[in-house]
Amino acid sequence: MKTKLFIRLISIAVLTGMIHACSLDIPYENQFSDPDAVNTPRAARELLSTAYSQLPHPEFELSVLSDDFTPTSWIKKNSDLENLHKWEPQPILDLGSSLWQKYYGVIATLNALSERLPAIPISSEEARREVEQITAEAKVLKAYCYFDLLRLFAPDYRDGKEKPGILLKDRLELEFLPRTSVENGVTAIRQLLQEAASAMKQTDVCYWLSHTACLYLQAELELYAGNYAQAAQLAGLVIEDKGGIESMSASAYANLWSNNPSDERIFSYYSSTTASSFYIDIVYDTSSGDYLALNETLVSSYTEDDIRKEYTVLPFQTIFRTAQYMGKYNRMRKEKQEITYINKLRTAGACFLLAEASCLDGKNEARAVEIMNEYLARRGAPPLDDNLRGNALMRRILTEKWKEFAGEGQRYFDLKRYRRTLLSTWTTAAGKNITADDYRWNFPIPKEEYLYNDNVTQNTGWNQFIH
Amino acid sequence: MVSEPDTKESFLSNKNKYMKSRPLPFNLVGLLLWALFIHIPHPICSQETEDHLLSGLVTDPEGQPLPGANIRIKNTPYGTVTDMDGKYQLRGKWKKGAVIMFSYIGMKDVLMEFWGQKEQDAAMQSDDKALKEVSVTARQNINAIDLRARAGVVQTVDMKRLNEKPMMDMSLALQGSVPGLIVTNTGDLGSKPTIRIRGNSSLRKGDAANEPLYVLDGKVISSDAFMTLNPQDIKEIKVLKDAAACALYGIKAANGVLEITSQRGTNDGHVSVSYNFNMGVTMRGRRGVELMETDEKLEFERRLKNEATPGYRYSADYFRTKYPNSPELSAMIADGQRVLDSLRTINTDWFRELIRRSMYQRHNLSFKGGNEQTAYYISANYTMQGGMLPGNDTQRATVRMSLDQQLGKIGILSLSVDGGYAETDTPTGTSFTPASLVYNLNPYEQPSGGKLWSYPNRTYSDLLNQYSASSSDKRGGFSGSINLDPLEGLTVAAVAGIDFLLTEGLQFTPASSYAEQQSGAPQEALGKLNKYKNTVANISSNIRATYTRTFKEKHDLTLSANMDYYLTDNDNVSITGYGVGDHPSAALINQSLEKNRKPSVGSLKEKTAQIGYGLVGGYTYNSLYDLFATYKWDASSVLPKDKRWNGAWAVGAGWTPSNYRFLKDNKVLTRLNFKTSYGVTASLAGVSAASTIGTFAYSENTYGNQRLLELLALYNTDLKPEQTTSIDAGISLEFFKRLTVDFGWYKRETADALLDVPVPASNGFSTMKRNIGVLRNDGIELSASMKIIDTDVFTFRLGGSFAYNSNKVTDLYFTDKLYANETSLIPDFQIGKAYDIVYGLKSLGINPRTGLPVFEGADGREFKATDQLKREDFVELGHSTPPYSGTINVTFTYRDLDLDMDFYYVAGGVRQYNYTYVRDMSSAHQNAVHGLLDKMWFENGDQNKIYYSPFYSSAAIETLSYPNTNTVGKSNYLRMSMLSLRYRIPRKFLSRRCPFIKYANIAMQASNLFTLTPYNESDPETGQLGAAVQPVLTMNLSVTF
Repeated sequence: MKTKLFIRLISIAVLTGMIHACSLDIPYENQFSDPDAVNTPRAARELLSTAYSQLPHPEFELSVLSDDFTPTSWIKKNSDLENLHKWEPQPILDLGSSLWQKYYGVIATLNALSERLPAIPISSEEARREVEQITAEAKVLKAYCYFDLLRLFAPDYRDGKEKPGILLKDRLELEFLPRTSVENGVTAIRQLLQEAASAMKQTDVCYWLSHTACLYLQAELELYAGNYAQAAQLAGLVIEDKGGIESMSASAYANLWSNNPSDERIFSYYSSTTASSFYIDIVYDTSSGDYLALNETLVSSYTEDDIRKEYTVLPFQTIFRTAQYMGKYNRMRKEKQEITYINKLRTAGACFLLAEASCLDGKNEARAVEIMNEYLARRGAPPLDDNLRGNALMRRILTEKWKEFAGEGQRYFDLKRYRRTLLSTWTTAAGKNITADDYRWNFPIPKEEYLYNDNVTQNTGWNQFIH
Repeated sequence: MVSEPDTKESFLSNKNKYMKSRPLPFNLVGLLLWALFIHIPHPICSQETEDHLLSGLVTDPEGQPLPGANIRIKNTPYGTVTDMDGKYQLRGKWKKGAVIMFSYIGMKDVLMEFWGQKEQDAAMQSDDKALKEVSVTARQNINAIDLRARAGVVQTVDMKRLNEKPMMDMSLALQGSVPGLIVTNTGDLGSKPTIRIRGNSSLRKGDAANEPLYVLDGKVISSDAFMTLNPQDIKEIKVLKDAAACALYGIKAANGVLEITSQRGTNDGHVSVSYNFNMGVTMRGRRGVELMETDEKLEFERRLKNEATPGYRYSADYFRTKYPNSPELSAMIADGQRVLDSLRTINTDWFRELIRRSMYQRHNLSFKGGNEQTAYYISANYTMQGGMLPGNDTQRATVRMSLDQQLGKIGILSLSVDGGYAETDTPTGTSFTPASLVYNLNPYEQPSGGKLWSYPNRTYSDLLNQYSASSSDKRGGFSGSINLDPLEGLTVAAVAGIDFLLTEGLQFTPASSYAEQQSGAPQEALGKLNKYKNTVANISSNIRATYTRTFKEKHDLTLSANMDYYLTDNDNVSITGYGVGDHPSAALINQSLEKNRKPSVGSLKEKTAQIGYGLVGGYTYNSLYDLFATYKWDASSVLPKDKRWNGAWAVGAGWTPSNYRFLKDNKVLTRLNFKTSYGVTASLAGVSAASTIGTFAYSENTYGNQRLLELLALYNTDLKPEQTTSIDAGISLEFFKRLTVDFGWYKRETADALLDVPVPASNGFSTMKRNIGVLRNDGIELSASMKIIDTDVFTFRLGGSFAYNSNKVTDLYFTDKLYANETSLIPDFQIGKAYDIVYGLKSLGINPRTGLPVFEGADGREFKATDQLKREDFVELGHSTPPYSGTINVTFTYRDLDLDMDFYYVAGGVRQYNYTYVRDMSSAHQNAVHGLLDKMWFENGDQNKIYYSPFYSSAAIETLSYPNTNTVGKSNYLRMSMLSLRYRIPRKFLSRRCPFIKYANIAMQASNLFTLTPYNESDPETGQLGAAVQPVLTMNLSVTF
């Protein structure tokens, strides 16, 4: 009897011990799986932050393609950069591939976020507002990516809105999507921005997309799609939101290229850990100099009192002469300041959107001159002639925009847009041999997409490299 | 022979009245003390009988000596076990007419009457009916059910031969031990070899998805822990190859199982103490390629015209080109000549300088003993292996204790404790392997000769004293098992164990080292220190109930069910910091440093668990037919809930015609057995949650004021487990009780094979884990052994094995050729091709005009080395894994002299030549292969050259970076893996001179003495220059008291 009791006791002890120890719900210490991963507004914000942090920064490369820079003698030491400056296909293939992957990386994170947002339990009014805000920001950020992809990889709206545009990726799952038309792309972006605009609240923190940023993108999109009146109206709202043109002070301008807050920022990338390599590629050697200097035409177009010159142009003493190097972020780097802000949308941009849209609208050119002059006064630059109209006015607007945004990649989009018309002579000035009909204006759909997706079509001209 | 009704006795289940009257001590510590102090000096009770000395040989059913068999005189305390040669010697007092019992687990007991004989041999027969307690109760690994072996493929490693190899590394020593178990050395001493059973079952490369499961006494251990085991503590290693054999372990066993059983005590009432000592040297091994001596090298340098080489820099050519009109030209030439002449006096053989002989020693002491109630085994081991560089060595000490205690009538309690400590010291650490230096340093350079030409601005000691490092492994394990027999035919067994491994290490680069001095960091940031501690704890438990019943003496039925649970807990911490100066202490790290010299901390904690339920059923009819079926259901915590549970099942059948009455006493065909099995395993080995469900982790980066929560992978919600189906068939034959032949055929197909494949970039990720295809391994395995001469004084046995594995990707679901990424030209996998194909170009030789190779393209067109390559231009050059492998074993015995030899061979593979020793102009400052002056193209018109022009950089020409028909060689080799010559000191001598010694042996043992290969470059196995397994030559002394 005793032994039987003993067996029972042992068996029971062993079995209970094992069953107790046998739970398989062991979470990783540092990994979080669905459905417990993104289940609070805070985690959602952190996932959204990842999407923000994944944003690529093509500002420098696009400036190299445009006429912002002219090579120095050091360029021979960096054949990739030299070839990019010459629009050789290989560096454009590489750039296209990198940007495509990065923008779609942001979009994948945003899709992951938007699929999880509806399941977040709402515990308070504050939480509800935060989730709504995150939902809206995710839409604006996605629209931002789509718009950049559209402008880089698709023909310009006016070159044919029915032509193949971008891939609209709405789900985080393996898909082999075809390209939708440029026009459909614009519609999709417009819808995202409209949905977000109503739900978005205003924020003072420039590194989150705000209602103002949403309006800015809407204005830019409508200008791109040729709806000038609407674009002008939206751009006006942006300026109003930012406190009018009066808010554009010399100090606000100076702070744009520093780690201080600036009133002129509408949306800036901000990271103390990932932004630090921005603009590093222009530097050959801290003591010897840069691969690229500013375009001399650009440098000579500034008047002496223009505060834009002070921050854009960086005189650099080489052995033979004083070279006019790129300032802004490059200046920060040379002055050993950490780069943490990368300005993406700023008030000056809205002024140009308003001026450009008003001028192109044809009905309100005087308003364009007026806004330009208000802006130029803030920058310490001489005003435009009040009687300027038509193409002459547009050319002046684009020149001032060039001067404002030198080195920030904006010029590339203007060149692509106006290469057949207002800016058709840019190549002669920049020493580049790129015709308005060149295939390279539309970046190639990269190998990483094209070789694995049978539904995607390649942009004309690139088939010789990717097959 | 005396018939005995109760033959299925466990060695511990004796009904000794004397022992039973003792109370049962359940306190563990008490138990241990009780065993050690009361029972070791077990008094030999004197009885009214005479003194006898009985000796003899015990053999297994194949006629091979059987080590570890028990010999006992029934109803007396006298008993012993056979030694490594199956021989035994038993001394004691017993009556005439007593019964001598020979027993061995899984074999029928042999009972003999003692009538006064001095010698008694016994031939054991396997016990086809004995599936009962005999095998189960004394077993640590309760999954090791004998039933499996009758339908499945279970092969046993010859531990005697394994122990004869003086090798520190357990897993390397396994090479060639069982056909189909492929062990491949991967490099220098201490690096983990690749171990595969019947090839890769997954398209995914690496160990996680392809390595077998290691089970020590029923507890799962890691492959790293397996490497540190002491071979002498191991009683048996079983290799489970097919589905029927592995299915008890479920999905974990998709790649086969190595089942290790440790040594246990004996119940012979005696203490046996053994001491085994090995001492010897590790030899240099095979010299890969012959390098240039000084004269040839200087001439080679002159022709390559690189100013960074003395052969050109001091040559007349240089001065004439550089200063054609200088008035001092002839003086300069004469000065240069003097420099060259002084260099010519030096001729360093860096192979001899850098690849050193080192010491090897091993000591092993073990105690073994017990009585009918208690058995124990204690052993201690120390092994030391020197490294190639002076001062660098690896040492390992292990201890092991086991105790088996009878618990009255109801069962047995077993306990084992083991521990190990290993330490690797690298006082002179270098990131250059000695082997790479052998090929790079010039013959005109010396260890004490100042700055080197081959490594500009550095001296030889800069190269060697780059850092110092030390690492240690501390391992501990405890396991306990209970075997209970509560009812007739029912056994309940439970085993639980914990295995703990702590790995610690420190790597230190002093501020004074060349690398730190050149780093450009300020003084206060110099000196790098990295320190880490990793712990791995494995907890396993398994409970199994087995019911066995025989009906009408013909029908044997076994039913068994089990539940097991395994938990692995990894916890790693590391710190890296700078500014420690010349003192290797983490406390001296300069914490004010920023940017890339900022102190950093790494941490990883990972806990995973698996649970499984299994059912097994077996039926045997009259020892003729066997049927076997098993089902195992397993779940892993790594996987999301809906993918967690996966099943494995197998069925098997066996037929033994030689047990028919009409064949039973056939003299020619003494054994004939057929078996076949079929099984399916669903495996998600190596798949983490991130691939199947949205999984996020925080990164170190920030955005704004937020941490970043990142999605780890593009997860695949449709991911299915890999389905491995295997079919096996085997036949085993024995003729004249002399020749045994085993033949096996298998086909293993993995459907839904998983792989990270490229996906369109618009999905936000470049790859995704998908079920992409089907791969198949099929092959044959043959082993045979034969006693050619078998007399009392002389025996000669010959054995051998042969294995062939062929693998093929039979289907890819989305494509017919799969490339790793968008730029690769060579497919990773292709339908209808093996997964280990080496692709390359078809070379047409060197063009005498350009000095560059010319290739033949896809359409038969010739193309130049500088042309753009296309995917179609590549052809198959062969298999990277040799498909054929096998062994040849030879044994001679003459009186007390034994000679054992093992050879291991592989065939059918190719390997790309390393070619690092073929220098071009830019690398001319390092030494080159002998004969380049003749075989290299130097100028227009050089005909029939082997090596292309040195005036191109191979990095700049894409075609040169791929293997071609002229740059691969057959990697076949034949290696003498073991040689052992042993002399047993005659018993007569021992009993006269040192009666306290039972056995004594002296042996010369060697491992990997030589390798024959047509591969005329580096090591054919590792493909690395100089990283071949080094021969070890030792003297061995083994004494048993």
